Amino acid sequence: MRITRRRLFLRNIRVRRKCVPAAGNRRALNAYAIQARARGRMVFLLDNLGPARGFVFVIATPGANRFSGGASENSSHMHIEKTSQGDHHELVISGRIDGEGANQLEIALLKTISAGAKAITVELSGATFLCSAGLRALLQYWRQMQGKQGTLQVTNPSPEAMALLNTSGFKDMLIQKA
Amino acid sequence: MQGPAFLLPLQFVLTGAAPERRRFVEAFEEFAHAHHLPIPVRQAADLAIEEHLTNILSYGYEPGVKPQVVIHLETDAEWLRVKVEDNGKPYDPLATPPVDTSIPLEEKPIGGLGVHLMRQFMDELSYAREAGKNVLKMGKRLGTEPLDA
Repeated sequence: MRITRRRLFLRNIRVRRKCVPAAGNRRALNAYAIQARARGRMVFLLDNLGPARGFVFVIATPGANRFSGGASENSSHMHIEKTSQGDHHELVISGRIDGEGANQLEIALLKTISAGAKAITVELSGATFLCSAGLRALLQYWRQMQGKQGTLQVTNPSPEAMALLNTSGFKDMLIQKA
Repeated sequence: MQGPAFLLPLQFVLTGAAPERRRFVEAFEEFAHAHHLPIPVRQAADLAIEEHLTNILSYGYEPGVKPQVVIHLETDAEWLRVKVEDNGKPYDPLATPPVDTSIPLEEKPIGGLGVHLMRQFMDELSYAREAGKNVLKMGKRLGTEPLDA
């Protein structure tokens, strides 16, 4: 079966195109492919999709491991996974908590609170991006939980999220490690 | 002819439609990758642009005015330079008072954090009102170390 952009899209695999300017410049193409593979990405040569000058398509499946060496290919999506044990609820957030992500996070927190959560943990190890809108959502519900004698805590932040919590004075939200 | 475009400055126009933001993020990643921008530089600029766009697109327009926001990105050996032009109400983000981050969570004011982060993560910020437009310029040195975690 031919690998096409459409087929990959249907499997929820994001496709990134890398164009090598010189026609038939396999060396440059291979160098790029090796570099991308070293970053843990899946690389496919899909010459049939573009003009004959040679394309590499770099592919990463959503939720695949994060890359420390490069921008994550699936970073413009946010994903929330919820688990609960009694009245302790955990939200595991991965991807990009931008303005749009912050709205999703807010909805998820609201639902968790209306489900009767007394303790909420927000796990941020997979958060590739966090902005002030995300911090505001956390702060708003942190206060709401305080007001109800409950807790909201952030745990295991990614370096990106940690830098933001630090520079904004949000460290008190973190679970204190003994 | 998509090839050479990777190496040119990036210009991106937003008109307030939701999917544009995601497309811009992708275009920015593409630009950062093509120019081999160091990770801390990418992250800082990504954040600063996100914060500024959220501010202008959420509060910068009177109802009925169609937003036209032009983002321009270029880089040389030392700097990443970002210019954001918008046709919204006069808005100087640099007039936002600094945020006192030592205020405890209970009393923390809810606003102003976005501009605070822009100041923290970028090396240069300047604002001008030019020909009915807000022009914000932001610069990030390519050699900068990430903020301490």
